[in-house]
Amino acid sequence: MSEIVNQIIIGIQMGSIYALVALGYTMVYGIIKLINFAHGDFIMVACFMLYTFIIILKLPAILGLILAILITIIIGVLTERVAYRPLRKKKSPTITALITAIAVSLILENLFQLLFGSDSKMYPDLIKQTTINIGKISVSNISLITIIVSIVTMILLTLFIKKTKVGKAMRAVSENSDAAQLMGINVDRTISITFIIGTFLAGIAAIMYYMKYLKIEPFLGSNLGLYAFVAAVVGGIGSIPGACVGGFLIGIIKVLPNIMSINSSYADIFLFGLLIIILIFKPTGIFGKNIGEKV
Amino acid sequence: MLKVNDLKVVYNGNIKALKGVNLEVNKGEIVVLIGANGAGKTTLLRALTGLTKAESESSAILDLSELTDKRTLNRLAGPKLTDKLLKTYGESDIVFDKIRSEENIETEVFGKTTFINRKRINGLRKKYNEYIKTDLLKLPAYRAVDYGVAHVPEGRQIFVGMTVQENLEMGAYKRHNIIKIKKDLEEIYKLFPRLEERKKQKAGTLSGGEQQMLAMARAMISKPKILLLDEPSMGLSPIFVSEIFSIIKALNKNGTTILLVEQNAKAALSIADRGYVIETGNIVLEGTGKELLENDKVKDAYLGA
Ligand SMILES: Nc1ncnc2c1ncn2[C@@H]1O[C@H](COP(=O)(O)OP(=O)(O)O)[C@@H](O)[C@H]1O
Ligand SMILES: [Mg+2]
Repeated sequence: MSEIVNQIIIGIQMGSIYALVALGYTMVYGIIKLINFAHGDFIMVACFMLYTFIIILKLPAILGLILAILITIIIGVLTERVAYRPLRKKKSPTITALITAIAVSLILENLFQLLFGSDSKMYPDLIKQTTINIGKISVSNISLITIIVSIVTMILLTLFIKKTKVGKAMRAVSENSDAAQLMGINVDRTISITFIIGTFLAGIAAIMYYMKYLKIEPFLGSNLGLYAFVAAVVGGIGSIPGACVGGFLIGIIKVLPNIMSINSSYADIFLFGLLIIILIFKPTGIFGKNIGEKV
Repeated sequence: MLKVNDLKVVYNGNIKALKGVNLEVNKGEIVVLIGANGAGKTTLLRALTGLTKAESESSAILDLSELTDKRTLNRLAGPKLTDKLLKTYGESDIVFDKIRSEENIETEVFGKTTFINRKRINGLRKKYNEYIKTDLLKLPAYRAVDYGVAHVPEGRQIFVGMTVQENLEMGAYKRHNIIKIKKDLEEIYKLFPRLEERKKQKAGTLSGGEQQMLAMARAMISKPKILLLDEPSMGLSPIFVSEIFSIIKALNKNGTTILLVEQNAKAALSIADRGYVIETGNIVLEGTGKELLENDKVKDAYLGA
């Protein structure tokens, strides 16, 4: 029994990371209707920045975290400015933007392979791992930190989008960018802010990933990105609670085979099976919106 | 107040939606633009607020030189300098007279002449001169509201996933005085009690007529000098139509200049000071509301007589 609980906690921990990444997909999709395939690679970039600052340059961890997040944000905003915005101005078809996103992803992956080599980089714990025992259940401090930080981040993000002026402007642009402009909202700036927030969340997710796996390689973003993307779709792409729920759901599905003591390859079968079922019965995902305009 | 010159819009490089429209809206007027489906009415309004790009030779000069109210002063000078100016000269129209004059007013306003004070006044004069004469077509769409232009677009385009209240808050996006916004919100709710009853409801759940009210209210709360309305009566029941038209009249009485696009020619022309008839991208007729109502061509084509 306690083993099951432990597995579920690990699932929630992984799910927290997926959820943070899924939020990035969902927010960008919500505002410019683009699946930003490069988003997973932003996490890879952040991980390598952590590695560079903390392991290679031996900066204090906290400074390393801040710098890594900042650089990731800059790369995210630049990506939007250089690659996506010109296409938007030309009103290019969606497929052009999608291919551009894939191109950005490939460029980042190969650039980091050139810079750091393709082998995995191993490194010691960022903070000392300890185990906390609550009754029969034992939780690692890393799991606990990951889960708490993610949930707090999600709550703050939700409040930000619901309550603040900038958050409301983001919702307005994502609903109707013409009408938003008539209100005086600068759409380009709002999109940049969305990328800042998305890559900030990617930076947080990267720290969690870095602490959990203790090894990184230039292609980690494509795998992580795929699961997070599925999380966003299952939850309902464009929906903030959807991304959170989707992320946790996928984290738990990933540990199901361990709980059932079956081959861990079943995880992907369950997961993509669930994806297909959800897409058949509710193509817009669990929290997908279906509010029509009345005329 | 608004002078549109040779307005041309071409879609996709070959569809000439507007072929050189000239029209004028004077301060305080209700000007109506009527025309059949596809004549170019929506394109005209969208070009004015920058949602659709016009050809480079076109212009739409917005003249705000008749504005002498406190709000405009505050927008140009900022709250601190506005306070000082009003303390010195009392009324905002006197302040504007002084800004328009070439006098050295910095000594009067600040008590002494310094380089910085002179720079502040010169800065204000420069801003004023830019502000009172603008080519709307050269502005990005999100700047139109800064010049007192509000646009209620075709099909309402309210934010359906946001609450009624949030929609109105978006209308006040560029305003900063929270107390005044709150007061204006109360007034809007008095004018549209139905919206107040539904203020926590998602706007998408409103009926068509209520959505149109919301779209108008959302534009009104930005305190426009000129309001562009694109077929506000479209698809509405007769009761809502007459309510909408009486609101337009009331708004105009309170000093808002109005450019109204309509297919409901009879109702629109009867509240219009002047009107234009547009056909396939050209203005083909113009006159006072009364003249157009009595014009045979208009009667045949638009009044179904
Ligand atoms: N986005 C667009 N792309 C291409 N053609 C358009 C577009 N919008 C309008 N048009 C064309 O421009 C002309 C004028 O349309 P519009 O301004 O919507 O007319 P109205 O509002 O008077 O019904 C029509 O022929 C219409 O088909
Ligand atoms: Mg139209």
